[in-house]
Amino acid sequence: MRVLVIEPYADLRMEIAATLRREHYPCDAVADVADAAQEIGRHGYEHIVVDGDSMRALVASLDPAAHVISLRKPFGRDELIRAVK
Amino acid sequence: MSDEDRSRRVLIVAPVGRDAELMCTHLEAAGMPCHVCADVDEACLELARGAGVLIFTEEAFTSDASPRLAHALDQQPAWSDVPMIILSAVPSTETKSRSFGAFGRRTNVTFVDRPVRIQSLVSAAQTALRARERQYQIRELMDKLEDRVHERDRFLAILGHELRNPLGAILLASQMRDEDGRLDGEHAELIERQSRHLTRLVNDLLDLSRVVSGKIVLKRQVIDLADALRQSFETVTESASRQSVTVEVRYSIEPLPVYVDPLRAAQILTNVIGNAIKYTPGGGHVIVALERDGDQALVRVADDGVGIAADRIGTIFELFAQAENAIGRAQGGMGIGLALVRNLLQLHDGTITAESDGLGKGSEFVVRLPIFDGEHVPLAKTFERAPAHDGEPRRIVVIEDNVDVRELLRLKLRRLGHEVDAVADGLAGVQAIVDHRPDLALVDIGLPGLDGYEVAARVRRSVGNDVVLVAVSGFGQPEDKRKAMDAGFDEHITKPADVSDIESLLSRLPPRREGM
Repeated sequence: MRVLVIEPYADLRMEIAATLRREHYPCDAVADVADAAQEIGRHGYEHIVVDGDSMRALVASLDPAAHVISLRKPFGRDELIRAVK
Repeated sequence: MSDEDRSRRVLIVAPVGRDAELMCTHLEAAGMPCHVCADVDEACLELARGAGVLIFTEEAFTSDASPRLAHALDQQPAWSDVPMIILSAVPSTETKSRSFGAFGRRTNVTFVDRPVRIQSLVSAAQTALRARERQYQIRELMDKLEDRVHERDRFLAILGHELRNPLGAILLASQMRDEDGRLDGEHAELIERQSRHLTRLVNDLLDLSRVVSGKIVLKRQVIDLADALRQSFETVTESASRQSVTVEVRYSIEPLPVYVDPLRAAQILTNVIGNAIKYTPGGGHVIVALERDGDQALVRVADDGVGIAADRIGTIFELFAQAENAIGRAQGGMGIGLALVRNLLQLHDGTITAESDGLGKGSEFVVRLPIFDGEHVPLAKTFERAPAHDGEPRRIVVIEDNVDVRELLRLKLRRLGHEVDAVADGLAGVQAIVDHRPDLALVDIGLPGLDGYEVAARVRRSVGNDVVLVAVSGFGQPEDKRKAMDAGFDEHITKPADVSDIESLLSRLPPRREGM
């Protein structure tokens, strides 16, 4: 169950990815949609965590099979893990 | 006719005889532009386009016209109470009460008895127009107020957004503790980094607010600008290293005396250099050059970073400018820093400009300050470093009602080898100081019951100057510091208190007394 994180804020991106990996989710993290498109071309993702609702539709069009998740910041580990379960 | 002219014209509805034409002639002769309407319907249409005053003769008020006029008046904006003058031959009864009944609650109505003396009509119209002018002034004030409300809403929206990212990172990092509750270095460093980022953001906001409201107090002295630059360089070294950005500083061979507040000068340069580092990718370069240009000292800060788009360069020093571009958001920049720099420089008669060949082509910021040309005075020695901390253990009392802050301070100071007593309120604090005679007491100002000022006063009365008292306060304005000093404190630290601030204080303490 691979997860892609799209988050421009570097430290937050790092922590989201670290949290997911600690819970044994294979995870890639990128800063923007352009990088995300490349990653999506390489892997299939079950979940994609995005920064804000405005990105949802665009990301969904890149990978219609993925479950696109947008959480209201700041969110904690439990909320994040619940969303990708 | 312009909107402004229309808003000051007199609309006349006098359907019988030559009344309209005569009124128009006399009012225009008195400087009041007029528009004659054939009936109330036309007056309603023209009212929507703008009018200063409405003049009707009673014949205009046909039974079906009144509701339409009432409806048109209802459509006016909230600030509008357009004056009306009604010319009536009926001295006191039917017409007046009927008209007041229909319009009196909505608008200013003045009755002028017929036959009308021209001077009376002109005078009534002038009075009505003056009243209308005051309504326009209210409208302008309301527009300005509305702009302020929009500006405030925008500010709150941006602030909320900018707080979410660092808070999100801190929250997730704080939950990365291991089974023993310990946090590894990487996540702890991130929490510290993001906390410092939030602290800077709050400090910049407070500073900007003080500059804009004229409350900032500059302690100006003549310094060599190179001293301020050295201080700034030290401050930004860590972030440059973390981002793998090389910063090269080229000092002037001659001293460049400037008459500035040294701390603010360093703040200006730290902000500009820090900004260049922030917008330069890893492996990039920032070159800072200090030089003289005639009667001005120049600091050039050039980078090979992301650059500035041509359409943004004119607004780069405006509040929130960086918050509105994608790079700024990604870097956690609200766009306060450069706005603050420009305002601080203006207070010092200085300027800042920015140039860039476009996105991806780097940028150059140039800070200019006037060279001090007064009589020769020795340059002040700024940023003098306290001697290094000798590592001597000290006895410290912490008085802080916030349990988390208190315990963190206790823990950190104990880790540094000091003996710490931490209490939650002022009375217990005074008692602890009297009982333990510490070298240093950190006293929160906003304590319940006995506040920090009263604690200081009581301690001074009880033990004199034997203990160094440090006020720890969320308020860092010069007047707050003065108030603390007046109450008996020796030093003032603005929250959040950093352990390095406390260490710096400890390093300046006289040698420990015997008997500890």
